[in-house]
Parts: sequence; C-alpha cells; structure tokens
Amino acid sequence: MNRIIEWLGKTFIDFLSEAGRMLLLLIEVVKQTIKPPLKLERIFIQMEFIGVKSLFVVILVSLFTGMVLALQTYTGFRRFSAESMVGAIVALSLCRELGPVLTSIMVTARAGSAMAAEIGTMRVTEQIDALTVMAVNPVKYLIVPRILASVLVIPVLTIISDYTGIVGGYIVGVKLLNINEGVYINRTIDLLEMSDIFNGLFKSVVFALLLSLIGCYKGYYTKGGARGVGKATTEAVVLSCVVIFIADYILTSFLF
Amino acid sequence: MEDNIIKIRKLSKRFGTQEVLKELDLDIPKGQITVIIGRSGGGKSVLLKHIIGLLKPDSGEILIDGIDIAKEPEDKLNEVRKRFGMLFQEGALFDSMTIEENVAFPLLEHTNLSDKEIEERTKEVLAMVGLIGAEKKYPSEISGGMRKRAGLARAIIAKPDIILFDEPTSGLDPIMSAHIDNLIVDIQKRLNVTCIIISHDIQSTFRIAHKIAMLYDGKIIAEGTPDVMRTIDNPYLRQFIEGSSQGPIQVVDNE
Repeated sequence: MNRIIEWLGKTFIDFLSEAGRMLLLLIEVVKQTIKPPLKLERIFIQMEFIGVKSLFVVILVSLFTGMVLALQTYTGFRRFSAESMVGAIVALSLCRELGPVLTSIMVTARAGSAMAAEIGTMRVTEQIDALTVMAVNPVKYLIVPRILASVLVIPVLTIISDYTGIVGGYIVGVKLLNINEGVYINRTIDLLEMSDIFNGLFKSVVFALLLSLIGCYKGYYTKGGARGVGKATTEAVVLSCVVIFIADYILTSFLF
Repeated sequence: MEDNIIKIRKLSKRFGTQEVLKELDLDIPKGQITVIIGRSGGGKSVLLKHIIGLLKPDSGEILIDGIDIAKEPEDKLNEVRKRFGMLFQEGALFDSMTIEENVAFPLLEHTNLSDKEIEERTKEVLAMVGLIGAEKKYPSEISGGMRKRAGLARAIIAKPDIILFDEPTSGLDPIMSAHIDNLIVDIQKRLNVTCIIISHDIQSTFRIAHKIAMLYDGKIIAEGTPDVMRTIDNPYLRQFIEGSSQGPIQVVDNE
C-alpha cells in the first residue's frame, strides 16, 4: 500500500516538475523572442525544414483522409438517403478537426522528432555548452527560431491540408460514387462557415506551439549519450501526440 | 606569483548527496599556464564549468578580475564570458557547420566585422593551428586531433584573455598530444593569454605548466610550480604522479 502511494506521489511530483520546467522554458522563449536582435534567417531555415519539407507528406495524408472520409460517410448516409450531405460532412470534419490534428501529428513525426534529436545531440556533445561559453544564448539561438517557425508555418500547412482533403472527398464522392456534382458543392458551401475554418486554424496554432515546445524541451534536457537522445526523441513524439489530442478535445469543447 | 586573474574562494558544489567540491580555494596567475590535475570523475570538469559560469556554486566566490561571476545576472555574465575561450574535450564543434563556419562563429555573433575581415581572421587562426586545407570539411569528416585543433582555433579567434582547456590531450596519440602541447605553449606566448588546463596526462602537464594544482576529494591538496610539485611529499600527489595503483587513493571508492 505504501509503495502504491509512494509511486503515485512520485509520479505526480515528476509530472508537476516537468510541466513547471516546460513553462519556465516557454517564459524564457518569450523573453528571448522579444529581446533584439531577432535573426530572421534562422526562422526561415526552420520554416523551410518544418513547413516546405512536410508539404508532401501532409498532402498525401490529407488526400487519402478526405477520400476515405467520403467513402465512409457515403456508406452510412446512403442508408437514410442523405448522400447529398457527404461533401458538407467531409469539409466540416476536415476544417474543424482533421486538418489541424493530422497536420500537427505529421509535423510532430517529421519535425518534432528532429528537433528533439538535433538539440539533444547538441546537448550531449557539449555543443550547447559551447554556445553558452561563447556568450550565445542557446534558447534564443536554437529554440526561438523553431517555435516561431512552427507557429507561422503549421497553420499554412493546415490550410493546404483542408483543401487537399476536400479535393480528395470530391474525387471519391463525385467521380467515383456519382453523387451529383452541383448538390455536392452547393451543400458544402452552404454548410461550411468561415468560422469553422478559422477555429481549425486557431487550433493548429496551439498545436504548433505545443509540439515545437515539447520537441525542443525534450531535446534541451537530454541526458546521457546516444541512448538519452533516443529516449528524448521518443518521448517528444509520444508526449506531443497525446497532448495534441487532449488539447484538441479541450479546445473543441470550451471554445467552439 | 605576482598577479592573479582568477581567485576562487571556498567554492562548494554538491549534486544530490555527492559533494564534488568542498570549500575549494585556488588562484590562477595571469598570463601563465595553470594545469589542474586529478582523477577522472574527481570534479575537475565541474571546477572548470564554474569558472565560466556553466554551473552555479552552492556557496563560495569565483572572482574574475574582482567580479564575482557566481552572482552576476546572465547579461553581465555574458560580457565576462566574451573574455574567455574554451576548448571542449571532444571539440564541441557544431556539426551542422563546416570547420570554417565553426571557427568564424564567435566573430559572426559578437562583432560587426565585414565578411572579408572575418575570412582573413579565420584563415589566420586556422594557419596558427595548422588546419589550412580543411576549411570546407564538416567536423564528422576529420580526425579527433583535427577537431581539437579546430576547437582551439574557435577558442582563440575572438582574442580572449583566458583560455580554458578540458583535457586537451585525452584520446590522442602521443605525437598528436605533444603537438597540441606545443600549440598551447606557442599560443600562450604569442597571445599572452592565461591558460587553465584540466588534465590527467602527467607527462604533458610537466611539459607545459607554469603552475600545477592537484584536485583530490573536492579540494586542492597541493599546488606549485612543476619543480616544487616534484619535491612535495604528499602521498596522494606522489601516487598520482607516479601513476601507481598502490597508495592512499583507492580505485574503488571514486566510481
């Protein structure tokens, strides 16, 4: 019994101290962002890595998600003759939910993991100490550009994801399942509101902040050689994904 | 010793339950080479990291020209750090940059020199350490000895007053070790800088040091010029210098 309580207490304290350190890192990031000079070049390099290089995989995943979504809704809706609603459902699900979530998960897998691995390797090979010794703040140099780039570029990826998913749904719904094209498009336009799209984009900004902060945090506090880097990378991806899903529920239920 | 650039007073540091430094006192003379010797895992690196403010002491003072860096805020500390150069054990070169970019990094970050001036200065220090021809290579493409020399070039490019060396000869063959030693002596003379070296390489220590200090059990147990150190009759020091497994220092108690 004592052991269980001990374990619970320790887990809780560990959780709190980790959350606390992450918050402190975020505060430091904000401080270092405000403090001049802000080197745009480093942000652009990260935007290319996080954004442009994730483009292909985001498009691929979104396209197929839109396609399967149309296929599934069609199967269900046909049972009560509501095929005309397929387009609207696909667009709503994508813009409100799947676009931001899928994009963030894909970016986590590609770039969040890379942030943890790269910064973690720099930590264990003393490169971060070397920055500090050369009077260069490592948070400003390494973390600020990654977080800013993520927050700027992930909403853009989300828009592309929304669009591709809708195109995928259209291909399946209209071209393969022969839903009337005019009905499909008109229903989508009628039911999808600008607020759905903006809400989704707001979510993507929050997810971007979370995944980049977690990736950088895990890397920054890496300990113990190659194994430590591996552990940090895994933890960054798992934690980011879990936090994205939890944040998604909270945002959806409280805000929209 | 005339004039001490660094004075360490009653420096204590513990990690968890382990006391690494216990009220350590040490003076570093200006414009000389001081070598701190001691066992691996004995707190030498911890001491070095305190001198440049990578670690904060639990108590005690680290005075650099009279400024206690343990109490300075980050901004002031960075001003003090600009007077330092440091050579890390594995070089700690940025692996995403070429040797040339690595070496030029301190100038790019902290000066407004033109590209041409930076290039010239980079060439100059690379020549000093004998690395002309490797400018465009990445750290992973060169040998350990070259990485250390590149790290040394990066440490000296911004003309520091004090250079710290974390085991500059560890992991190198004897000839490369001797070469690095010569480089250190040469650079010290040429730039008239203060050098602090941590090492457990006895041969190299006696070759280059003006002052030697032995760290054991969190304290400096003996210090002096190499000639003095040869004559001090401290059983710990004797065992370390002679490299014997028999004596008061037990192999098991430390690791």
